[in-house]
Amino acid sequence: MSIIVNLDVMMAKRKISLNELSERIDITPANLSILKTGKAKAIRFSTLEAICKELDCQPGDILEFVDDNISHK
Amino acid sequence: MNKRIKIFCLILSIIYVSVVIYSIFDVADSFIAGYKQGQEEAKDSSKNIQTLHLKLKPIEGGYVYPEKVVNTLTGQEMKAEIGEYKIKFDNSENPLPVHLKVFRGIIIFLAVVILAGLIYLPFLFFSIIKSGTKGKMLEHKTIRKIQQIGYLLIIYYIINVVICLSDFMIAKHAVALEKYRFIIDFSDFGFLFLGLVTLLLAEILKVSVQLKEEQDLTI
Repeated sequence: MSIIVNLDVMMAKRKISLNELSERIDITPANLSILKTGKAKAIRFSTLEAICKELDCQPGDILEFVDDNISHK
Repeated sequence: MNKRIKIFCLILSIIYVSVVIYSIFDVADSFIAGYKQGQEEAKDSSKNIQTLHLKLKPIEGGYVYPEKVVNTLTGQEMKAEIGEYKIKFDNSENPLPVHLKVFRGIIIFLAVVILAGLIYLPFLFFSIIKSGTKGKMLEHKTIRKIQQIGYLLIIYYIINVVICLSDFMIAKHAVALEKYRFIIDFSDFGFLFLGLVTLLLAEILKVSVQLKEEQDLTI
């Protein structure tokens, strides 16, 4: 079971860079990079809310669930 | 929080250094005297000097006070009971069987192991203290060092018990006392308990480190 973070996809769609997004939502570029690369262990609702507001999208556009068992079959 | 850790670390360091210095001064005279005596005895190769540290119990049971000692202040005769003996005797007329000699050889090796551990222990301890003062307690390196201290303490207890067992077996073979019998006392669990508590602390700190890492990776 894994959660895929599609933040880079949404950022490309909205044509916004990592640094710019981090400035707008008041999160460090390093932390945003951790989120983008899928290394984060958890995300706060406040962070998710800020990202969705800025990128004008739904949480489902940022986060995707992929069942590893099904994908291996 | 870090200030309190620093204060505790400082107090621990002072106490540790004080205990070590006190022990050195306490043992230094005995060591010098024992060394000189050992040198004298070694000149006579016909003797087989054995030194044993033994725990005793009166043959009739505990608390019977078979001894009598005089209080030189009042002249009163007091009853007494001996719990421990350090004895030295010439065993050349009753040599040890082979298995006890081999066991004794193993004991000498284990004593070297204990000595190495005791020399390594203060380095580990002060390394942990240093990590504590720098606020680096929740790191894998520090936790590994705490675990090593725990294992050292447990090994120290086990080797102590084996050494007591060796002295007990030699005493049973070579010595008999009128009023006492030899016992092996396993009740001195201090080091074993301390070692287990230290290992438990290390496991708890491991969980804390895991939680910290998860927290650090929570955006």
